[in-house]
Amino acid sequence: MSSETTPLLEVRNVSKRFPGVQALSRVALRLNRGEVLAVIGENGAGKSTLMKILAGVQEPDEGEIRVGGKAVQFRSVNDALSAGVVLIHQELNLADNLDVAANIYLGREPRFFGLIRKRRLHEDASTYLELTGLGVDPRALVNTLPIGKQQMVEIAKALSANAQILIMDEPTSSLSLHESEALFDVIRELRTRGVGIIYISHRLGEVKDLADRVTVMRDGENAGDLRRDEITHDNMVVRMVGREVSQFYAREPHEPGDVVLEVRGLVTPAWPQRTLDFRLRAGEIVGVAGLVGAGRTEMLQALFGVDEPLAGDILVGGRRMKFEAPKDAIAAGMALVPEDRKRHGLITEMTVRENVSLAGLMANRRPAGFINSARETEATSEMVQQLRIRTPGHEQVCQYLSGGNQQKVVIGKWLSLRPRILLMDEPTRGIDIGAKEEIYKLMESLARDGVAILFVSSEMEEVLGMSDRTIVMHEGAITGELKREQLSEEAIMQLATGNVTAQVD
Amino acid sequence: MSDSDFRAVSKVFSRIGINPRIVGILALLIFLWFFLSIYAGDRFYGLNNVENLLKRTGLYGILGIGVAFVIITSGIDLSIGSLVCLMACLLSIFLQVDYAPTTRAPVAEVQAADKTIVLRDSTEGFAPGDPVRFSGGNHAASSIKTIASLDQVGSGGAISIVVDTEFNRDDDTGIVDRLTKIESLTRADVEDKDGRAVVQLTITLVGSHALRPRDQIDFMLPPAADAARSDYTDLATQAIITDVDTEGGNTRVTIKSDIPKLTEAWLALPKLRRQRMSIPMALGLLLAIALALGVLHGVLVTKLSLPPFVVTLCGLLIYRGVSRSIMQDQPGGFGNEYESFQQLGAGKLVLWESASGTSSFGLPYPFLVMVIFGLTAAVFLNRTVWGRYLLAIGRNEEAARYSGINTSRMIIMAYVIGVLASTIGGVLFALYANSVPPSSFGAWYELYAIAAAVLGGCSLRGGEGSIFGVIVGAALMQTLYNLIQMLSIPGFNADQIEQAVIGAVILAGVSADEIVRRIVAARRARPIDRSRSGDGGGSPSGDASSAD
Repeated sequence: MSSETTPLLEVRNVSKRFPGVQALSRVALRLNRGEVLAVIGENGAGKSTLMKILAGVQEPDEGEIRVGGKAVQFRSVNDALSAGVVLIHQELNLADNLDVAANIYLGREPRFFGLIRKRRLHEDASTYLELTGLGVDPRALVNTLPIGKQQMVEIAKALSANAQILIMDEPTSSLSLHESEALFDVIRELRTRGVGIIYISHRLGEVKDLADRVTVMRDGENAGDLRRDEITHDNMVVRMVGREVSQFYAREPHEPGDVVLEVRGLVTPAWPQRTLDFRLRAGEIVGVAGLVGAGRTEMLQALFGVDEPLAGDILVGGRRMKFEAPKDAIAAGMALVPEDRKRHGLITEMTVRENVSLAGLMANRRPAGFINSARETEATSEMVQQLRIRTPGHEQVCQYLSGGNQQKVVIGKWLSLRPRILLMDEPTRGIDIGAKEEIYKLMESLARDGVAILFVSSEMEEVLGMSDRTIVMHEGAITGELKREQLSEEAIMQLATGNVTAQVD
Repeated sequence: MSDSDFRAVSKVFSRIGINPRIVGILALLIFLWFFLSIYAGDRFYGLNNVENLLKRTGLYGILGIGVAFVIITSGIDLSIGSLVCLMACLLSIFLQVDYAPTTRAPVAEVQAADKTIVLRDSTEGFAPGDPVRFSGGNHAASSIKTIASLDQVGSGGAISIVVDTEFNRDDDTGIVDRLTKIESLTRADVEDKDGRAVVQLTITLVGSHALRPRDQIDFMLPPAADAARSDYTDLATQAIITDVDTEGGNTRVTIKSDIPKLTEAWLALPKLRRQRMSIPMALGLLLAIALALGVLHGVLVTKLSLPPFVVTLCGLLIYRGVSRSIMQDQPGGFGNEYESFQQLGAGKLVLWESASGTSSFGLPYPFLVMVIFGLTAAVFLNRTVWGRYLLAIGRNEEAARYSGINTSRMIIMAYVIGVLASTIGGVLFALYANSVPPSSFGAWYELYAIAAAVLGGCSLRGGEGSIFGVIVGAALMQTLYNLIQMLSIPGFNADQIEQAVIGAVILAGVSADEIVRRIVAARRARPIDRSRSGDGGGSPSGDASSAD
């Protein structure tokens, strides 16, 4: 057996390059037996890539991985599994239509001449399910379980594979407060059993409660380690963003103008039982916080005419609007920077010029529907300069741009139309820290020019840093509104998990 | 070739509409032409063969351009061949020509005992002494009789005709046509417009007839005076009138061909030419039908979200069945009618003619139609807002919708363009072939069109397509067809092996294309590295999550 000083998992000098991107450069990481190590960092800092390498999903270009002191090379997920490393993905990987036990033993079913031994399967599954402390019936179909219990099934599955190292990628992003607490109990229980846990989260509050140690990553590099007694909110944020937070989120409070958008009794198809009411003023930046699946994206989509609302009124500048398609919302001066950039935001195979000009083509057309290429080039130049889009030229195909520059192209498409209301869904997801800062500055300057911005974000720091006002949603409803001075991570989490005690103005 | 060379060359190409995806196919086409110049020489570069190649390229190219628009929206149109057939059949129905006897009356009753025919209503133009043709009931053969006398029947103005001969017992109801006696007949040796010697008939008919050139005249031999009945139909002959004038009170017609048996003893049945509608009207009607069908395809695909494959597969079956049914499986066509209109499919714009006039070279009209259609399509696709929208929708329909594009309307438009191309193709194919067998006309054409589009750089994933490429693709397929005809490989029949060879070449072509595409993609990915390293102190613009 290994000695006390040998770490359970050690990563040295791991680098990974993707075409056009240095995802990881010489990263180090250490995990001891019975320890909860939180790995934090902004989106795009390289956490996910590192975890995929540890789980055998991807191979590193260089560097060394040691498990229990022995150098290992993971060429596949199975290599990692046999070394006891299991990654639980953010999106759960369960076969919905199978029962719990079948999922736990998927691909490893106890067999008798090719036939599955059902009883043995269920008995074995039960023992691991008990470890998770939740009374889950091994015969229950996975799609009948709430998301928190599905997560437990994933953990039981990992344990049944004799996992020594459990990597959890944002496990609480879609859990209720109660489910999260249950998960933390299981994590603490596993820690006492000597399992090493790598815990990735954006929720710094959770990290503070749970982690024994924190490794911070920034732009594919190590940005510092924090011992248990060093784990404070400020310490973590400073290392994540690389400077004082107040500089990063450059907000200058200013007086909001008239109400430009008013939503009355809006019902989205995703949550037909709930109604939404709020107002947005010119020059205001309003954050929309909530858990994954709280109906925030659906709200923006209903506002933008992507999915027609079932009921309710949308008033733009005091006039009642009916948006049957995004083109109607665009005509009313609205724009949406969607959450899924590659599916909804960009035509990735088209060039920077073609993407930037796409929404304004019709308005700028020449007689007989010909494209006004002079105007097209002009608009592209303007946006490339204003947004500092780093591209070899207007004719670069967008799929070869980095995430941050892709996002700037999406924003550029809308800014060239000079919208009055800008809806942004996770505006900085998956982009590097430099681009992120630029987008924050842009939001600030747009707001100063009187554009009303409504942005959905799952990043607590972003909501805290950028919002003049924050709307918090839970299960399709707005559970509260927080003014800037009322904002705190705790206040948001209370409302986001349905504890409606916080006040509304 | 270095990166910069590569980019410089591809920039020059793309400026003239040749993107890297079709360079390979263009090279293959040029290689084949070169190969054929060595192997087949005169046979390939013979004027007729080149004209034929251009004509076929034009005909199939039009279909390919049409389906390219649908493929660009990541759809497919399998109904092209059946649409070609349907439109060809409809055109031949719309432009069908009938010849109706000048004086014809329906029969109400036959009073055989009195040798009398009672007409259904008053009809002028019959006079005692006129020969008439009586076409009796369902089973009886028609017979020629002479009017003995006419009587008024009742007050309605109907008349009864008493004739000179007995009726058959099957004769009941039927039709009476007035025949005309021939006053005189002359034959003259003349030269036709090509300088060949022909016999020209000039016939003077008894009495005045409202005939015009292009009307028809049937001739039949009357029964011998003593025969009660004469079966003359196998002697009937027809001719188209080329010229009409009058001589005294009689009408004289000229016929540019000889009917050797014809004598003054025969009887003439003048018939008036009746055209259902004018050519512009027929074409307008076809376009309206095309528009309706295109909208139907598009609406089913967009509003009902049916897969394009299913919609157009059903179209393939429906249009074929409808074509066969409306034609009752009889071949359509235009016969000798509309000769100048038929030139649109079969003729050419002569560019060169040998001094002796025996050989000439020209651009076939279908090729010219394709050039015009192709230029329009290319400008539409590459220079207009709607073309850009189509390309955007094909790449990413959702993102296009989020950008404010009315995606349904655009997709419907693409299907309309597709059906429109099939209609233009159908008209030209029909005029070219002048014989439209509804069960086989246009069969497989959708696959040739799709193959031309795919060879020409249209991705079935959508969003990619070059009109010039489609034309090159169509030309390549026709060249291959030509090649197979000329290379007589022992043991293989050219017609039998043709489809296999074309299929194999297309497979090789698209495989090579995919490989080229990957190389191009890899090269395009590289420049950003340089710009990045040149960024120096600037913050790195990469991130990990976007790369997975």
